[in-house]
Amino acid sequence: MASKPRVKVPKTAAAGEVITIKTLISHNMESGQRKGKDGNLIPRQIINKFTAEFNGQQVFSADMHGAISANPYMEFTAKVDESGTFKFTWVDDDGSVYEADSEIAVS
Amino acid sequence: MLSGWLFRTKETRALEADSFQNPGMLGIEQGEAIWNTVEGSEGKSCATCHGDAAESMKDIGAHYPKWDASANRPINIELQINKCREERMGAEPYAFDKGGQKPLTAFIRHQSLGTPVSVDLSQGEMQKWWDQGKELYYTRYGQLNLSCASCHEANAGKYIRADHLSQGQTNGFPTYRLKQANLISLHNRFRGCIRDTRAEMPKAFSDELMALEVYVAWRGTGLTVETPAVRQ
Repeated sequence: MASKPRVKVPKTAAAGEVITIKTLISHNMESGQRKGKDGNLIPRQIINKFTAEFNGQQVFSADMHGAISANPYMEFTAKVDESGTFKFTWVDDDGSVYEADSEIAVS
Repeated sequence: MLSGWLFRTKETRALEADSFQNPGMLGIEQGEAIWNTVEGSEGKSCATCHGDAAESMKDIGAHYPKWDASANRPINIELQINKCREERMGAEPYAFDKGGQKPLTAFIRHQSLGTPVSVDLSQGEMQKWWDQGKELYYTRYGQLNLSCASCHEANAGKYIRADHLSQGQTNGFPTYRLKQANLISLHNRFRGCIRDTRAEMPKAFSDELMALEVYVAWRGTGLTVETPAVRQ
C-alpha cells in the first residue's frame, strides 16, 4: 500500500546543531468513515504511528488517528551531538512496518 | 497570462514550491520506477530506448501536444506513451487514467520543469485543430450554459462559490489535487469542468478534448511547466 518513504536529513551538521528533518510517505490513509460502492463501510487503514530514532534512541514519535490526510508529511527538528544514523518507522493498521534510514556526519 | 499557482493560497503555493514536501513528487518517483520497468513482449522498458530521462526527455514535455503524422491527429504525452507501448514494447496501452499513465506522464513532463510551454502549430493540420479547440473554448455548453471562457477568461480571479477561478492553464498538469489526494490528469480536469456545466462529457482523448488541449496549451504559451503542480 505504501511506497518507499522519502526522507530528507542533512548530510552533514556541526556538533550540537539543531537540524530539520522532513519525511513523506505515500499512503491512502483510509479513514474508516467512508462507504464503498456496496454501501458498507470501508475498513480503516491508516498509518497509526511514526517514530524516529537516532543511534537507537527515540528522538521523535507521533500517534496518528483518523482525519489525517493521505500521504502524511512530518517535519520536526532534532539536536545532533555525534555522527550516526536516523531510523524512521511507520506502522500501518494492518501490522506492516515501513522503514527508512539516513546517515549524518557530525563534525 | 497567469499560472494557476498564483490563484492558490500561500500555503498551497509553498507546498508546490518545495520539491520535497510536494506530494506530487511521490507520483514522479512512481513514474521513474515505471520508466525503468520492462514490460511487454519485446522485453523493453522506456529506459531501454530513451536511456536517462533527465537527458532524453529534457524540455520535451513542454512542447506537447504535437502533430502525429501516422495517426493524422494531435498527440499528447499520454497517447505518445501508449504508442510506444504498443509499437515498440509490445505492451497493452494504458486505459485512461489507469495503470501507470498518470505517474509516467507526470514523470516525463517533470523533466521540463521550468521550461516555457510552446506548441508548434505549423506541423500538419495543427492549425485546424487549434481552430476547433478555440471554437469549443468559446461555445456555451450544458444546462448552466457556460463556455470555458465564461469562467476562465471573463471571470478569472473572481470567486465561484468558495473557489478562486484561475485562467485554466495547463502548465501544471498532471497536477496533485489535495481534494483527491492524487495526481489528476488534464483530460480528467477537462471532463470535470464540463460536468460542472451539466453537459454531456466527451471521452478522454476524443477529438473534442484533443482540440481543446491544443488550444488551451497554446493559450499558456510562455508559462513555465510546473508539473507536478499542487492545487486545492
